[in-house]
Amino acid sequence: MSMTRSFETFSRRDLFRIAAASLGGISCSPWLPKLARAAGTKRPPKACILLWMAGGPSQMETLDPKPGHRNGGPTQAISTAVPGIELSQNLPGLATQMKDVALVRSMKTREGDHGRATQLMMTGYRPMGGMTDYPVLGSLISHRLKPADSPLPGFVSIAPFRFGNLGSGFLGPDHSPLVVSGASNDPNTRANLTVENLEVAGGNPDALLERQGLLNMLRQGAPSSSPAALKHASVYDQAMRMVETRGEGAFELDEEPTELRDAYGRNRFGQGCLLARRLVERGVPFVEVSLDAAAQGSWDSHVDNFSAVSSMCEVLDPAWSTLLKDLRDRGLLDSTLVVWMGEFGRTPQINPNRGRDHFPDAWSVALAGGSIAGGQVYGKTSADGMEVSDNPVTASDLYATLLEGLGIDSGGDNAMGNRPIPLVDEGGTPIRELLG
Amino acid sequence: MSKPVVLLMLLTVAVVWRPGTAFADSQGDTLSQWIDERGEQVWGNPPAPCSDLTFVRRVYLDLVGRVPSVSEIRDFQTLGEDRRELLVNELVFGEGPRRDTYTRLSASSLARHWRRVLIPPGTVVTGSVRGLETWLADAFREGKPYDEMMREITQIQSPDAAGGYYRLVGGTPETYAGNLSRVMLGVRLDCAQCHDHPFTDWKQHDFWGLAAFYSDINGSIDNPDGSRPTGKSGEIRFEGETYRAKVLWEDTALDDATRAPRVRLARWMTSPQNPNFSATAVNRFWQLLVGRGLYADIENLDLANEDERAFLDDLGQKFAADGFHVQRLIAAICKTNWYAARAMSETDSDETFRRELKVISPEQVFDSLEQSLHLPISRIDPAAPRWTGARAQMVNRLGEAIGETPEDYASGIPQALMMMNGPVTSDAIDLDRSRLLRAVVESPFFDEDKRIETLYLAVLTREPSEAEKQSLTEYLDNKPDETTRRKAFGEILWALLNSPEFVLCR
Repeated sequence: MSMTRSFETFSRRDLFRIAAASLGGISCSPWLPKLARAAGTKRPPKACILLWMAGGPSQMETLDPKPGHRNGGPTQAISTAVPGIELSQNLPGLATQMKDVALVRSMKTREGDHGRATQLMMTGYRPMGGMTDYPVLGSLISHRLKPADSPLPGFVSIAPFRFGNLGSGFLGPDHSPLVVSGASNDPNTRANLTVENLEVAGGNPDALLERQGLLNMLRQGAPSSSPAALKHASVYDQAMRMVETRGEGAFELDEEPTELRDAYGRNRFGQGCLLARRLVERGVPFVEVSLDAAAQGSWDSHVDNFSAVSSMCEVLDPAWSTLLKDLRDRGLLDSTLVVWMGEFGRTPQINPNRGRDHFPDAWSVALAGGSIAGGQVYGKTSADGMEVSDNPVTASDLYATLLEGLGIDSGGDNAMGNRPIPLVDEGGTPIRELLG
Repeated sequence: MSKPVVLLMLLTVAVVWRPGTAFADSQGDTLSQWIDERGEQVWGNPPAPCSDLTFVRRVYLDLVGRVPSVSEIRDFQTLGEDRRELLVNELVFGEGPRRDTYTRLSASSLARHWRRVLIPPGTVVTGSVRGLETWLADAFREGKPYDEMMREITQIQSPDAAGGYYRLVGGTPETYAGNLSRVMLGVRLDCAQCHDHPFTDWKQHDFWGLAAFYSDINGSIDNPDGSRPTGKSGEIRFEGETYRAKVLWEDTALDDATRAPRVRLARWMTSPQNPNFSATAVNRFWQLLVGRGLYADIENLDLANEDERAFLDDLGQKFAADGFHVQRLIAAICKTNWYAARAMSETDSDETFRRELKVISPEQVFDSLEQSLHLPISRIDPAAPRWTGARAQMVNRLGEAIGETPEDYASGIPQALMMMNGPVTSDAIDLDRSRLLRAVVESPFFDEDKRIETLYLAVLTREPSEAEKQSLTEYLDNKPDETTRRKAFGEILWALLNSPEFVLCR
């Protein structure tokens, strides 16, 4: 095949995109007018932001305080924008957003090990010794909701920290996360969240077109029947488009007003939540932002639980509440489901180190936006927090609810080869009360 | 002499060396023949063999962990009829003038691979894996038999023995037991930790019986949800139950389990009577070299039926009878028609055999780039990427997305972006900084065809096809002036480095 012919495989649209990309260097952000137009004419597409609390946050110091009971420790409860619903004193910002938030206080799972519990909560399936490589939630959603023509990936993971190696599983690399790393977590400097290697090697964006042509020529040599070669081609096509469009400018956090950036919090998690909003605006259907440790502790609070969780919430609360407000201000909250969860909760009994240990029997998660009916509490724990006293929710139930909240039929299947794999593990029932 | 001229010599001048004939049976030749015949019973006639250049690329990647240099390719081409066997002997047994280099490279290449077997990607490790990799490399370099290595890993007396493997994977009897049965026996017991296995016969007492062998290792990490020692060797407590040391496939616990339990476990584990030990070993080596295990689901060998594992069991017995000699097994496999089969062509029997493309490992990617691009390698050279952290950076990024088998390409956008635009690539395609490009473009002895051909050989270990030559000539002819024409070689090199062929060994 001759070179001229190979070059013809580029469409005029590609050429136009390249031209636009080089123009992007001089104009500030050529993408936003187009975005604004799109937003004005039709409803924004569904999306999900997962705030992943690696380590397992204490429910009693966050969503399910037990003041007055010995197990509650020194943590006080505060009132919220919804009369009758109380949160821990660590979440004053979230309290103001309560009308849009639904609390689930009756999570009941069976995995108390970080790795296994992470696998359960990230995939919706209990670990079964590698019989099936289940995709994580982000890959499931990317697979269902990723727009065909978007130059951005369907699943972006910001500063991930997880126990274990989980990814797109049998859904393959098309739906594996694009990882955005933060070089610094120092609140005094900028949390510079970047996608590395987005600049065209050699510095000349025009070279991209030639490279694409040369690569196409070389691809003729790779057997098209090879699954590995097909995956390689698909991943490279996506990466090329990312470079062409400079990620649609999503990573230029400098475009945001200073006050808004401050409100999110000048740390990796806060700026990560802001980036999540910018990605959702540009059509990314799933963004995961992780929070596992702050200056004074982590969610895994075996020791000094109360100061650890309070320190974590100083990072969490401004970011989470600003995200909800910002999404609402931009008309994106009705289409964007914001999920807050970790892999399990903490023991109600306080251990001799003033810590709380792993506890999967009765714990909390929070949902907001999308089709979720906010301003309510679902399920209940006993006065001592030791057990679910009302409406227990399993991981599968939660998954079914999340999918329905995004307009995805939770009874559907994925295909692993010829084998249908249910989206949600058996027994998962969507919680109708939570779906508006 | 200036650098480009030296490099030019490296690219063109072959070292003249002709290896002598070795003893017929000491280099896996008999075993190789047996595999060829046994394979034909299962799969019928083998597919057509791959080309010489493909074979060279395969064995260099598989055995020394990088692509061959242009001069190594030329050397090979000067060898006679039996050049493939001679090359395998040179790389596996270090025959010939580059003995030290190849022995060192093949030991560290094997060590890296086995480190990934022992600690699969994604495992949360405690500490650095360097010590374990060094321990493995030493063992492979000394030619330690495979069963002896595994015995040492099994009968550890402290968490730091055998490269610190015990500590690395979590430092608890249960994580170690789960890993040992997976690594050495191809059996995944992990789910029997909490409940009897839903699909196979494994029960909780199987899992905890194995863990009990390690209950008295000092320095176990305290996990509030984990096991507890009972104070006696060969016994362990979990969730209120006490389990006594027991090997798999036995109903009763070990007699007198306080007496040297791990030494006895090691003996049982590596015994030729153990049904899974040698079969799992050869399956792993076969997967490493051919891409797919003789039974593909290596770590669930207990799910294979008798037919499915017959070949494997036979080969395992041969391996055991040969004293678990790793190098001879590797040489034997590399000399078979199956190893040398052309990729993506099939046998025509019911049980088809097909070699897929093999994804090369993160270290192989870097080490091949280093070789192809003539990157400086000296420790005292401040620009040598191997020592500046560039290698670690690349290996880590690629290591974030490793497939479960060598046939599984699992890289994503970040990995592609790094190969497209990362610092190594940027330097490689820059005429001022790229040693390969300068040697090729500035050589007065090369015409344009020769330049293209040399780039292809250095990066892809093959010559360009006629169609490619024609396209590239056209591409260069469209360049308006000499400067852009020279720069275009950088673009061609970019494409070679990013082509599927670079990371997918054909």
